[in-house]
Amino acid sequence: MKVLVVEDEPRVRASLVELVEELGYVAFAAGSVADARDSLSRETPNVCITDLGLPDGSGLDVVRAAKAARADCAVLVLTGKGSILAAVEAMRAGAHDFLLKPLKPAFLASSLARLAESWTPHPAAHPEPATPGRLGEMVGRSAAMREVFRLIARVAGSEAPVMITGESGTGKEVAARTLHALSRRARGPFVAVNCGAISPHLVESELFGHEKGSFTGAERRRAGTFEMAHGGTLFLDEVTEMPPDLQVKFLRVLDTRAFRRVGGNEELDVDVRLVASSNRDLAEAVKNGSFRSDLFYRLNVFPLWMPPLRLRKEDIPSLASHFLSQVEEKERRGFTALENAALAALARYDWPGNVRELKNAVHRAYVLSDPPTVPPEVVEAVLNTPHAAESAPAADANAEAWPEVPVRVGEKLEAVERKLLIATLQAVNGDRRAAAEILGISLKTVYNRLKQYGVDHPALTKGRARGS
Amino acid sequence: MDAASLPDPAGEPARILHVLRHALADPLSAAALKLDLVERRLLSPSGADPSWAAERVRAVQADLAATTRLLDLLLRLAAIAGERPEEKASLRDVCLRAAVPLDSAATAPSRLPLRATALAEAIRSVAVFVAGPGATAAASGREGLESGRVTLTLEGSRERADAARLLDLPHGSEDAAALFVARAAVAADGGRLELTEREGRLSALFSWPLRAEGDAGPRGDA
Repeated sequence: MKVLVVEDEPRVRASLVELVEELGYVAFAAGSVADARDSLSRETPNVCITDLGLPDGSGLDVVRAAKAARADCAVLVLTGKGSILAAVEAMRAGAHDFLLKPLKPAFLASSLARLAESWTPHPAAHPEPATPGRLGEMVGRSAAMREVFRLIARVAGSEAPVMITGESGTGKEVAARTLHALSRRARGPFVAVNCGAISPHLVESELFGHEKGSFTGAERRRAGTFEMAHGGTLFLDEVTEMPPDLQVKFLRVLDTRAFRRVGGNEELDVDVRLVASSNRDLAEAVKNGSFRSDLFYRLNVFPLWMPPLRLRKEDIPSLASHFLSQVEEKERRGFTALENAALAALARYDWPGNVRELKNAVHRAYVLSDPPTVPPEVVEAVLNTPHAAESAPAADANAEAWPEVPVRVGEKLEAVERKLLIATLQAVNGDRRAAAEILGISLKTVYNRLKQYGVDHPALTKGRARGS
Repeated sequence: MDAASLPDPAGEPARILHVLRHALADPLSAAALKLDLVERRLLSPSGADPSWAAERVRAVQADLAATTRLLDLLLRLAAIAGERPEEKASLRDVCLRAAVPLDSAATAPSRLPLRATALAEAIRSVAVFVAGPGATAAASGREGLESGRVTLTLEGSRERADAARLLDLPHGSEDAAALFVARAAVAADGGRLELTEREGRLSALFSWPLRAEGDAGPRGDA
């Protein structure tokens, strides 16, 4: 692998070249934009490491020149903490990733190793080529989904943070998993965190881990989600629900790429790719101050919008068939298809709960039908049940599909109850009556608990009580 | 370094600290890279050649010396921040204190809240810098009023092509550290220092917002 180092500070330039060569790559250097252009035309490097501030121009000029010389050239931008926004701009211009100054050689080495691996293609890194109508677990042939597939395929190869927006149930996490599977980090872990569902008391420990004895109940050292996602992708679901004080801490980790476990003194480097999601209007969240603008700009480098199902109704038959196959694969009852009239009935519905609601409806219809096909009358019955896909019976039928709530020995009962209530509410899109039925408590108790816990964010309270 | 592209969230004083932070990052990066390299060689089966390792250690020492020089600038910034501004200092008096002659045809003297000691040192060091290394005297100044700002222009004979970068602690220009401190001294009183190049020669422009009658005027916040 050939690496071009563009840095005007001679000591940094010489040290970078020496280390890159020590790591086993071919290195050559440039001290200005003009030198870099010259080297790019002669050497066509695989990787270009460039400082942002150069005597005769900006590192952005180098990013553009590198991409023009060789479209697949991966550009790593060197930047200081104070110019993170400039680095974000560079990533929007096509830079692969940025490295903070003072440089941490281990980061540079791991970035280069990942890039070198990607220059030697292996099947696991790209498990599934974009076949028509499919990308990873994503299904769709509509123009909207083809655009989503195109954007995911384009951004997967970069390290740019991705912000996935879209209504609840549109498949934001599935998109994030697909992105991870197609990325150079595919062999690393994919760790998802629901930012709204973490108890405020445990939030730091969840994200950063803790040392033994750092608080009551911390009987052993525990890795947090950042540590667990090291070398892979960290998916921050419902990122706008992150409490304000956590946003500050989070931003610090993003800026330094290092953190400390709760109760720990050692600063740990972390190497994760960030993918975030939200079903809220991000601009509005920034405007009303509930979400920090600096964090927004850091995460929104590559925005990706997941279209609601009502805007891609042509995908409903293939999605429904896909979900039916998934259930059949697990339960093996001998189903082969949904009847055409059943598919037509599904296509007529508006799907306010989007793909998740469709998946639940197909599952419910599967349970209520006799093999080998799902008839239209069962589908009609499922669709005529108010909020069928989000209701308690559906929840029972889909118990395996609900997300799990992690509980540790030593946690306060109140904290566990709070976590479970919040997670359940999120799973039913804020429908408090459905949550009450699932949890086996009264609607009044749900309201009382929400008040008691001070839970007031829109994702959990905007939902209507079914039937009200 | 990338001072030009920095966001400006809290004005010039914050920007100045960012510049210093950026400047510190370079020698620290160089040292970290060299130490990593030495560690890799020492741990490799073939080991490290002692003379090669000694050379890298000396280079790291040079990087740390550069870091120390930059850290010492913090003391200069602290002295500026610690000085109490004089409520109605005359720019002419400050120039006199700096031994920088003012054009006699200048407008009526302006009085501003200024850190007179820090500013005199700033004007003096900028005048010497723009005059150039061979100059027998510091550049002379011209006071004026432009677009609601009190200005002080120093035109020198020094030839520099990288005027805009000189205030941002460019590496390889050790003497530019004085300009960085001067910029901080001016910014502490709400002013600005800009360096431009006119016909190949350096020119420095100091400016402060003109205080209206009854106005609180610029406040230092270095």
